[in-house]
Amino acid sequence: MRQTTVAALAGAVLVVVLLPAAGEGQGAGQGYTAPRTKSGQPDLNGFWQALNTAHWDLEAHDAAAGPILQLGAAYAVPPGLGVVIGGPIPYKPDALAMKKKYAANALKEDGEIKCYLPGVPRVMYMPYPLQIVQSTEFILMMSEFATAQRTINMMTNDRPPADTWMGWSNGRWEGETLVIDSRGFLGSTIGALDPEGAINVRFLDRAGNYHTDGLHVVERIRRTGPDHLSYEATIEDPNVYTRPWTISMPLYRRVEPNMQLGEFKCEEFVSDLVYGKYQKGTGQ
Amino acid sequence: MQAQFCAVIAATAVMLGTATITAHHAWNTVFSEDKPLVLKGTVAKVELVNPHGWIWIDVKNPDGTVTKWGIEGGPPNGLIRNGITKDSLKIGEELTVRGYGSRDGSNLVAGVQYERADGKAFFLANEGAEATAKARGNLK
Amino acid sequence: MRHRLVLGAACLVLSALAAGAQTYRAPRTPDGVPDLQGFWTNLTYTPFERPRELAAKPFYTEQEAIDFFNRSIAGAQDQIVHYVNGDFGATPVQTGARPNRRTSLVMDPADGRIPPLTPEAQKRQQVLIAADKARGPLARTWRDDRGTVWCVFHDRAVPSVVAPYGSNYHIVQSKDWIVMTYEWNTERRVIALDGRPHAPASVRSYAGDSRGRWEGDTLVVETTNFTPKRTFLGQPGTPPAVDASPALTLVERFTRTADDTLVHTYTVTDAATWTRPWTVELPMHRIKGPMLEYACNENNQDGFAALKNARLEEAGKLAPLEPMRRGDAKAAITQHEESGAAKVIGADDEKK
Repeated sequence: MRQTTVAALAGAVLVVVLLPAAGEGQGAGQGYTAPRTKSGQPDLNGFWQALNTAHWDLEAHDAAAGPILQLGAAYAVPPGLGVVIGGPIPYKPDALAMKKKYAANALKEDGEIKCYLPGVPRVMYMPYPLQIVQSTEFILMMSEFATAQRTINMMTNDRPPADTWMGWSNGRWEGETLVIDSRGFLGSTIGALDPEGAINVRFLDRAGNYHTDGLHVVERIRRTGPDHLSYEATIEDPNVYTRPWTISMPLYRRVEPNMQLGEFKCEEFVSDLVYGKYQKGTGQ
Repeated sequence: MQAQFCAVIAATAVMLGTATITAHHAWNTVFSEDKPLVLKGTVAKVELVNPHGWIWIDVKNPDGTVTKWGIEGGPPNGLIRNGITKDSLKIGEELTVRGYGSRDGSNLVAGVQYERADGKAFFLANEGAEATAKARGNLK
Repeated sequence: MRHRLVLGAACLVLSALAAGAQTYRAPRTPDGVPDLQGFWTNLTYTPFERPRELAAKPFYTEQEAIDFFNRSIAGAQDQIVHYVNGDFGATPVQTGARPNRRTSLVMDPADGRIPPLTPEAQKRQQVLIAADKARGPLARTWRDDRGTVWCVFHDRAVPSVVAPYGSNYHIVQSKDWIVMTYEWNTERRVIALDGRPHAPASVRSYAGDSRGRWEGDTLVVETTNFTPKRTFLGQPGTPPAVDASPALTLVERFTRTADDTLVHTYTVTDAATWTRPWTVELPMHRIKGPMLEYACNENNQDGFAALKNARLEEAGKLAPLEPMRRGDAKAAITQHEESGAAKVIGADDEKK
């Protein structure tokens, strides 16, 4: 009798372990208990990276030509199944019209091109490694892109004292899940002296999906296995969308030994582009 | 030309050699001492950003139209550590700014002094170097 | 609005080897190592190099140190065309600087001054100085505008030198990493503690490649692999900038000597650049957070103005740049208003 029970239990455990980690956050790794840090929290330390085309277009999309002919296939838009749960992004009608305008003008409107800080959630799915360094009081999330950095406040729940590009993030643990509530996002550059170089909204991807300073993001992050995170972000901006909407994707651990972030200070590579018309020659 | 960017130089510190190899930008590249201004308007937007915070005020012109002026200030971290936030100045409140206008004539001002409707100075009133020194230097 | 000084026990800072420091035991992180976490400032009025007349005097007495500190606060002068630093809580004393018994931050060589450059380094430096002179005062490209160059990398982050404001760090520790985020340009230093080797020699960076280990209660950090694109020193208050050899090695020691004091000592070694290594001690004092992001590239209006106005000046459309004047900014602007020189915009006719 006992042997049968043990065998049945072993079989049950085996089944759970062999379930593939699905793309949606809902089911995959639901039963996984992450190792703990010494202060007792689920351990999110390490290097993580998204492996999808969300940074091109959050919504499902076909392949398409890129904006620069000479970059050919290297900068064409690859196809993607999309990461938005439940269909297209719920734009207000006038905001959808603006999205199409911004998309058509992406070379000028997309902050990524000028190495501007990408904001949240975009930094989480850009094609660069993200390092999480976790202490009891703060969790740092550092992207290789433009040395962008998020500081998640884990022991306070204050309102943002000022607006920033990467937002003001308050985090708390709900069991295995890190829940982060972020507000206080700048919606545009100041553009006082260079109106033509200003950006007017913040892109969430290269397809012109955008938000304003009305953005509010709630993220849920948890370990679903030794080398996977489940990442969900609920995005709300009454200036743009009719209701909150949610994206979901796995994040994969960068498992190569001695992994570290490289220094990608892209400001240097774009300064001639940004200041070009006021310069004599290039800075290179 | 030894233009210093936002420098606070202690009088007793000796200036040591030529300090830089590239031209700084100093505020006098943007703003001019020949253009002192007193600007009165209402607060339209407050952006407490690094390296320079900006306050935008709506200024009524004699013909009744309204022009937005940008007042460039200092870094916000010291303000925020002392309890000032982006909401400390209310949208629509009256503000008088004394400072210097831009060299190229655009509606931007280097803000030196900010005065609210009640006559009180905004930002951290500098309590005076002596009081600060006594408080700081005599404590062990 | 009054500012609140952090009126904690403003202990004078002695070197980490002082007897007082040895009796202090830093609290531990959950991982069991000294806790260096928090927000810290290394702002100071102490000069980077020792004035020559003090060559034989590495330390003030306590009273001399206090007097020097007070004189420094009183002597700080604003530029006329500039916001007033004190209004923004940005001055060193407002941020949390304290009296320091050392007469200079450089503590070795014994005279408190950076050692001489090697002949080859002198030649390299002359090339930099000559190029700077040839450019003239008008910025041609973004590389001629220091503020814009700082948007790429703010070299005060590492190795630490003097600064007029904003020289603050946020330290966060996990089991295998320590991150030190610097307020200017939100520069970050990421220090691996797991004993891994340095990155390959061909991988170079502005902030260098940092490896840390504990020696007793002292964090020792070795940083190498600096990119040849950067220079060292060249800040207001330090010797002129010089570019270094690929072999430059920075070794730092961080020791917490009190609840609110972290002593940071570092040695720079580059035999191809300086005739001998040199060592600096910068005490760090605890301050309150937060430390907001510094989005330089996104908000660089002054960089646009410097370049745009340079072009206007070249075309004769803008009067040439006047030398910047120092003085009491508030007194000057009050005088402009009282004398009627200030243009009044947006007021009705009534005076207060």
